Amino acid sequence: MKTKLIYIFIIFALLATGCGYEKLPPKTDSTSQQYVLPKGEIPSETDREALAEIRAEYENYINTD
Amino acid sequence: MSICKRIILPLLLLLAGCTRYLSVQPQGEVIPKTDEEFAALMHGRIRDIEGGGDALVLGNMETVALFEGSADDLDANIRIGDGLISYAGEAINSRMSDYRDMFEIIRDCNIVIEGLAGRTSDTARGALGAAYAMKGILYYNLLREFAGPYDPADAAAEPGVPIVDKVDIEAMPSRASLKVTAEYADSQLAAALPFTTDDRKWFFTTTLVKAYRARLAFWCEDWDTAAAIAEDLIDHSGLTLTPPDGYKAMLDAAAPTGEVIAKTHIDNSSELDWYFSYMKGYIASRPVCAALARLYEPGDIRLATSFNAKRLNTKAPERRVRLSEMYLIAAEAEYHRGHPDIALDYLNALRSARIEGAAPLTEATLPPVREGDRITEDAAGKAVTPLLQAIFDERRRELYMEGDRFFELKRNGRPEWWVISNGLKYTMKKYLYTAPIYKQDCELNPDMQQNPGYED
Repeated sequence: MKTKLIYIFIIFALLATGCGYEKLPPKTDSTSQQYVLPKGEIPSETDREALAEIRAEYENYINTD
Repeated sequence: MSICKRIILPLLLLLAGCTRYLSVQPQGEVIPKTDEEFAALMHGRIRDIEGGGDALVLGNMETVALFEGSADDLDANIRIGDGLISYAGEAINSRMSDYRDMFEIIRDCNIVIEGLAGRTSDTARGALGAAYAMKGILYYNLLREFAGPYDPADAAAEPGVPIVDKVDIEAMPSRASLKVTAEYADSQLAAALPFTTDDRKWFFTTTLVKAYRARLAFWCEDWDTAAAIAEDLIDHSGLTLTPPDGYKAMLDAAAPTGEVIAKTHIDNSSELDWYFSYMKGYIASRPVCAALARLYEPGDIRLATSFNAKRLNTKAPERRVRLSEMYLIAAEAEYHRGHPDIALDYLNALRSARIEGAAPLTEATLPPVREGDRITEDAAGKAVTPLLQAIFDERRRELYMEGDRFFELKRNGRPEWWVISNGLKYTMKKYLYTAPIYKQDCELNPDMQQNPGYED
């Protein structure tokens, strides 16, 4: 009985005087700290033609100058 | 009872004292007290700038790669290249980290300003000048990068960035207005001037601080102030434009020479040199766009120093503050003040230092406004005129590969364009000219307003 009382007292003491903790800022760990990058689209035929023109101009430039 | 004495009492003593483990104790760091200890905070930051490691105050080769990769002087549609972002949308998360890191430097500046206030030793005055200058420059950078374009008509209502004027780790300031942010940046630069000299020991010379005040006024479309400061530097700084035969040597020199007011990476035996040799290769992996290549006139010394026959970069990609930029600021400010003749004088002075045998431009000989240019409106939203186009063209040639073009686009209408990368089309939308505020700050402070376009 005496031992039981001692254990109860120890547990009580641990609960009563146990380490406190500092209040933390609002939890944000569950949210992402990064933004999702903008998504690309499938280029249209006009876009592809414009791209081909840009590249043709460059090829022409480096092959003639 | 003996058990109580032997176990419980010591246990209670131990437990009662254990909350102190959370107390912050110095771990080898010194809380600055002396002038030298405060100055050491500034020396550390200045060492980063001079070694080329600083990407945030004056910026380094990494900064040049970021902003040139986000702009259109290099054409990602010809080739994306290595190690460069294809457009600004790819960098939104890394730029949030820049926002956080800038405020860490501002914190150091505030520690020095608070700690050294009223002290009069040379060390204290030098460190104070550097702290105010660095903080003013960082606020100028924050204004350009994390707030929208400056329009004087609504600057009092649009959000700028938070003003952090003292060391308080519990403070969570919300965003001040654009106008207040700009005024605060200028107040810090003005506060630096009584402490600065033209001795480069503290890096932030009087001429450099004035040049940043001109840049800030120019960004804020305060044309009178921009013209006054830029013209004062042109007339009284003691610097002159470097002539064509010294142009390449001026750009390649490690230390500021000729018309260079300041540059980063002065210490060209920095431990980061291996990294910068890679960066140069990355930057030279994406060709210059056709529109820029066509702008150079015969005899322009910048043509030979900017890129090679394959239109790949050959100019040292560094961040510099140069007198030539003051000529461009003066020219554009005088244009907006309604003084086209004075604007032409500044433009012609710069052209004669860059183009051998350049004939002076007059209003009658200015080329007409081109069709299809990316910039079609000026900072005030008005259509581009032949004189303004000539100023824009000169700026683009002169400040190529110094990280200027991205902000030139942002300042003048934020035009949209697209890039095709890995088979997908990415559009450089207007909102991408402004980087997001650090996301955690917005989550911690409900009053912190995020920039448009960056929804959760």
